[in-house]
Amino acid sequence: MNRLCISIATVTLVCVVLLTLAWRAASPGIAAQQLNAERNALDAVLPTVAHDNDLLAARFALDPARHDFAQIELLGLNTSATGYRASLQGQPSGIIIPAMTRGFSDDITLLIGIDTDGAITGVRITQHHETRGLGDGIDEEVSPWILGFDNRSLENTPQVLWRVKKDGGDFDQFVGATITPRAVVTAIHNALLFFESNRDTLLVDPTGSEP
Amino acid sequence: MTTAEQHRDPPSLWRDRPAFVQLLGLSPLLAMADSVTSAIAIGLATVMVMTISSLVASAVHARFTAVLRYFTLMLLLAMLASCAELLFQLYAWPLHQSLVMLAPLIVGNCMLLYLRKDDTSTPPPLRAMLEGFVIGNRFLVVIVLFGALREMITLPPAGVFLLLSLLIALMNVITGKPHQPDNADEAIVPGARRVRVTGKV
Repeated sequence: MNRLCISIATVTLVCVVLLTLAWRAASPGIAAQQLNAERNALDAVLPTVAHDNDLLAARFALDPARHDFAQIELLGLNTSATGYRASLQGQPSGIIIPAMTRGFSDDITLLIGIDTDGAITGVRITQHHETRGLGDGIDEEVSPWILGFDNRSLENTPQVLWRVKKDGGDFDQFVGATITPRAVVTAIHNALLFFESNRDTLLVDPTGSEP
Repeated sequence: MTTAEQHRDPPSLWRDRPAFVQLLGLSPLLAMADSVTSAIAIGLATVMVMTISSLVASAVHARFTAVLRYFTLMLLLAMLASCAELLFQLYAWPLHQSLVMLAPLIVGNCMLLYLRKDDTSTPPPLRAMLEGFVIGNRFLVVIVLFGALREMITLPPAGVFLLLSLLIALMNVITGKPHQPDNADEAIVPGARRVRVTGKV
């Protein structure tokens, strides 16, 4: 039995050492991949906004449990999420805010880019579990539907039109799926409302420090 | 614990029902293979893990007792599956994000593939490695076929099981006989004595 214990310990040790080595070797590359993916996602929602700062370094917390921002419940967040400030030569040039909504099958998370005039520069769904072939049209890889929000603002699209066409609004629903696009349209509209009521706090870094 | 018990293979209880256990064990993996891309990823990971683990398992076979062999195999599979996951993170980050629980499922799947193999003897390392490679590839073909079908037809979860059963039925038609449990073809010899095990003995 003792022999068996020693053998098991040896085998475990060998595996642990090998796996640790593999992990050590891979982790810088993986971290780079992760940053790259995040940066790509950010660039996708702020394509037209000129900025010279590193968005990843200009992050700020949007915590629904705190009262840093007015009407934060508009974002539908259930935990603290990250927003990003874009700036050009120290002047705010845009912002990326996260939002969350309830889709047909599960929560949907969004990333919404807004310029200083309050117009949308891009929206991407960062996570969803909508039915393949029905509700998943919100995903930019599946359909260009989400691009229809580009350049929309509270100014150029009145409140009554922030709905799917079936409800008399301006945005297409999908064949066989209304709940998903309806939820996304409302979430994006709410994010714009949130931006409007927090414009100054959002655009200007309260700490005033350049990262 | 007696010596005899010590050397009995731990999962022997399972081994008697490989078809059932394998089918159940496959379910989560098949659920994840909802496109050709993810199916190829799962299949390639399985090929890699099966190939390397077969080589190592064969190399240590003679020196290890049965208990230690099983232990080593499990640890080896876990380690290799983790390495496969690291590779995916390194070279296919977006794909990796869409494959939840990849490593544990690969381990479970490879363990099931091993249950079909005879544990008492093993071919020499290189030959075992080739065998592992072939077994992995057989699985790759099946899961890619499955992923392709799922990509073509949108199915609710119940439909996936239905598709699986249809595939198995189709296979039975092609091979000409339903899958038999391993001990089912044991011939009943006329005149053989049977022991009564129920009722009053």
